[in-house]
Amino acid sequence: MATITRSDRTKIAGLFFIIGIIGIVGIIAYPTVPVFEDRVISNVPSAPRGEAREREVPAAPADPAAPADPAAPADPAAPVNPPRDEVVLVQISDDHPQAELLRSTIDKYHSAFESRDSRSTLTYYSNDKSTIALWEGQAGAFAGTYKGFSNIRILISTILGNTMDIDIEMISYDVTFAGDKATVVAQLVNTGHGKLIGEFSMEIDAVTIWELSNDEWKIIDDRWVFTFFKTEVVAEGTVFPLKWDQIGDFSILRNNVLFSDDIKYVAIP
Amino acid sequence: MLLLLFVTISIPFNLFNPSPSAAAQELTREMTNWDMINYNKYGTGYNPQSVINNENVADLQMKWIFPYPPSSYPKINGAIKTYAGSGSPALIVDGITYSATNQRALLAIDAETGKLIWNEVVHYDNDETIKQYPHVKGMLPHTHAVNYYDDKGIIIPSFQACQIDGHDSLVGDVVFQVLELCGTEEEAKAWGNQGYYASIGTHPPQFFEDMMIVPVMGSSGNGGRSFIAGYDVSDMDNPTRVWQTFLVPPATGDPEWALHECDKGWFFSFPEWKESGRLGVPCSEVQSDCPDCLMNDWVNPKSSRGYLHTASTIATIWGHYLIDQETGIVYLGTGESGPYPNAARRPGVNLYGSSIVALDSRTGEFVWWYQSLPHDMWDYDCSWNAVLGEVNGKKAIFKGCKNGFLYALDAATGEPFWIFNPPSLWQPQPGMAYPDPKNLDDLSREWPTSHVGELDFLSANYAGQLEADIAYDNNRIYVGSYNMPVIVSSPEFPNDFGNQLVMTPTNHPTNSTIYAIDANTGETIWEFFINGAGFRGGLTVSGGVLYIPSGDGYLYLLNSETGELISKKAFGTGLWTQITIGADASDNMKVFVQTGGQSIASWGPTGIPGALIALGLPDETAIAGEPVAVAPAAPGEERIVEVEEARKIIVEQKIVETETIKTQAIISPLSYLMIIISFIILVISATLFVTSGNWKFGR
Repeated sequence: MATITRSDRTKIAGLFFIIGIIGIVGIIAYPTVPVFEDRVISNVPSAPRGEAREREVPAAPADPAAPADPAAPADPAAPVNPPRDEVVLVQISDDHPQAELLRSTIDKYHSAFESRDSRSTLTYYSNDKSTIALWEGQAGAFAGTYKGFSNIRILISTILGNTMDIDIEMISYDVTFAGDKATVVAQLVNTGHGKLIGEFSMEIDAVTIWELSNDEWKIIDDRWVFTFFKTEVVAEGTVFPLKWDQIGDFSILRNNVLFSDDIKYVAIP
Repeated sequence: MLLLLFVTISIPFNLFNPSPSAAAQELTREMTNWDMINYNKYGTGYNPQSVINNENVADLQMKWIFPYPPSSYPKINGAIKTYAGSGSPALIVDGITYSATNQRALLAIDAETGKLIWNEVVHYDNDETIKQYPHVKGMLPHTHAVNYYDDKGIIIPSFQACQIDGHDSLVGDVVFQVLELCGTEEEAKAWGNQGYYASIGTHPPQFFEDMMIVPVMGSSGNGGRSFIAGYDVSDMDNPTRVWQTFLVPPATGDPEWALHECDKGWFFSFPEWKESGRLGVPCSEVQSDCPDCLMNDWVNPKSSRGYLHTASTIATIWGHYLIDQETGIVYLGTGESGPYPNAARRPGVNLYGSSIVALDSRTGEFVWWYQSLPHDMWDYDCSWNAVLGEVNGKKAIFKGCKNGFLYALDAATGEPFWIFNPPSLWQPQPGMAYPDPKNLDDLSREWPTSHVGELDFLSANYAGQLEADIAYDNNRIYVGSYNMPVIVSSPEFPNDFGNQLVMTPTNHPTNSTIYAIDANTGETIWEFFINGAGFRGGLTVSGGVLYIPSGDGYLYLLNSETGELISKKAFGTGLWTQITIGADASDNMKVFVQTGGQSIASWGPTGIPGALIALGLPDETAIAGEPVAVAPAAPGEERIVEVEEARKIIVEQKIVETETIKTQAIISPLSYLMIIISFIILVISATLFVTSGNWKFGR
């Protein structure tokens, strides 16, 4: 039977010490679930397609250009149903029986986007008045809150209608499931050519909530934070006809077009 | 006193007269969208929404304005002239407004904000087209219409250069094309063509099942053998023409041209209508009473071979045509017979000019036809929209023609139900009555007054007396007529091509009258007079309001039931395009007005780019704060308090079944276990180290 020498004990003690330290530091520094910003999501059952559905969403940054919320009460003093204070914990997991379906759906969604197939792209969004897309950060003229499927259709129409080609690269992907919802945190690098902005490159931190309904994953909440957005041509806005008479003949491919959003309302006598 | 108290209490709560928007009409797609130039496939010009209605329409205010660029953008080579702005009513599809400009740009605009979504231009070069197709003439005075096809997701504006371009409604790309509508020069010769096709289609095509129906027309004075074509579009990438129905005889003539479909046709005989009120004369009766009247139609009397004159044909179809989706019958109002006013080289009734024709869209065969003006010498085509509706429960086609008459015809047979002739219309000078289809002398008349030996003549207007789209709200037909008489001079016959038309103004008054007609009887319900302006463009009815965009710069808003003027709004320039109504993406109903974009000199100033303007109801929150002044009453005096448009603000209390979940930084229980184990390992390691005897540092 082999005996353990002092030297061996020292080596074993050292090894255990290192393992213990790594264990404590590692576990504290990297919990078993990712940490998100505080976010309020809803577990309201999906309404049938086309029906209005009420859902709480995070407060969007103030954006005067953002479409009015039709569900908002007309009178601030009017009684509304306040959000409940209670916090309900649900089982959160990084696995789900339909996890693979989600991943393949995301790939198809990106493919539809890349092929500028607007109708196909829109099929990945829940056709609901509470579906929301929020573009912020360095999103330029596209920044804003697009609430409801109709407004998201306009967003997609604006993006793809002014894009000649686009390539979407997802450089990171992380997903967490909670019930029939999945929160996907991804980093995207999009490059391509726009009709008005020329060559472009954008980097996006995207947090997208997908909802499983009838064996299909649909986006119900899509937030893109543009951390980088470089364009060949500067585009300040999308209301440009006012400038046409100042720049002469207009060509959609000319690069010296500067747009402005300085339209003014005029009263009718 | 009690009444006063009640009013005083009521006003702050806005209990009077709840606004329709607050009444929260449940909006359907039919209310939020305006798909085609005249609202829908059936051309009614009627949106069934009632959010904007006769109680609140006076409060419409501007929500945004989208100015058009000047006419220098973009230049189209070889076009007659391209005007600035848009003369095409704006569409509203799922929150997006589409406007087709005269310079061939298709604009998609966010209906909520007025921001441009995208802009797509199909670049045409008419010089190149004419070079490649010598039998085609380049034209583009203005873009008249744009239609959206919901089942296909495409938008098609008026076409140019003998080709149809269908745009994806969401991204603007051209995804559907039909080329060489006018054929190659060799094909056209084989069709019996001479002269020139007009290259334009003022109205986009219509579809029935897998068929697309499109007119391909010459232009009066320029020849071109006009026809209606049916394309098989079951493969949208490869549309194939499967039938053509010609509307004029071949260049080599056809002595029995007017007899081929005689058993299906009707003539409007102005003299018989004047004398006995007769609404239509069967073609077979004309054939029987005057056999020669229908022979050698269109044949040039100077041609020893019985050919047509090179300038003779029927002009472009200038109006919304429709297909009854139940029967597959397509109804079209045809262009005028030409050249005009000198018809010396085209005697006869000139079928099928200035007519309403019904074809089977599967085969192109005539179902029926009704000629509103035999041997037209006035440019009185049956342009503007056809409407499919009902007369006493039977399907009817309502169609105005530029002779000023409105016809209600049996959709199945073409037999007239009733005819409306606006009583306010100034009639042409005595002796210039419209031709009788049974009178050979009338059908041989060279120009309107040639039979009385005069060259100059007084005419209602070269553009007729009805130059606007009509509207139909299932009960009433609304029609706008006008008087703008001119003197037409020296109608010499052109050598080869052209309409020799010289007009000078007269001192006869210019005015317009709008009528509401009972759809069942054709009787006038009310009329509205506008002095000093000829009415061109179109009428729109919705929410009990008739919208009249007028050349005097006002948008008149009438109670559609009574004809009472509710309000009028000035736009500073003549309005020549019908307004449209739809909702933005947040379901706010809006009224869309095109200003400027006018391209016909006789109607007013041309070349004004104008703008697309969106009007909407005021925000309710702003109205809620408006004070309502009540004058004090003298003691003992009864007082009537008029409360103007007080609104009820309804705040819906929605009980939202929402569970709030907060996703927080969470460390799982397993992690705590791992930490404990790590501590135990640390303790063990320390014990081992101590017992190893190596703990004495510095030994």
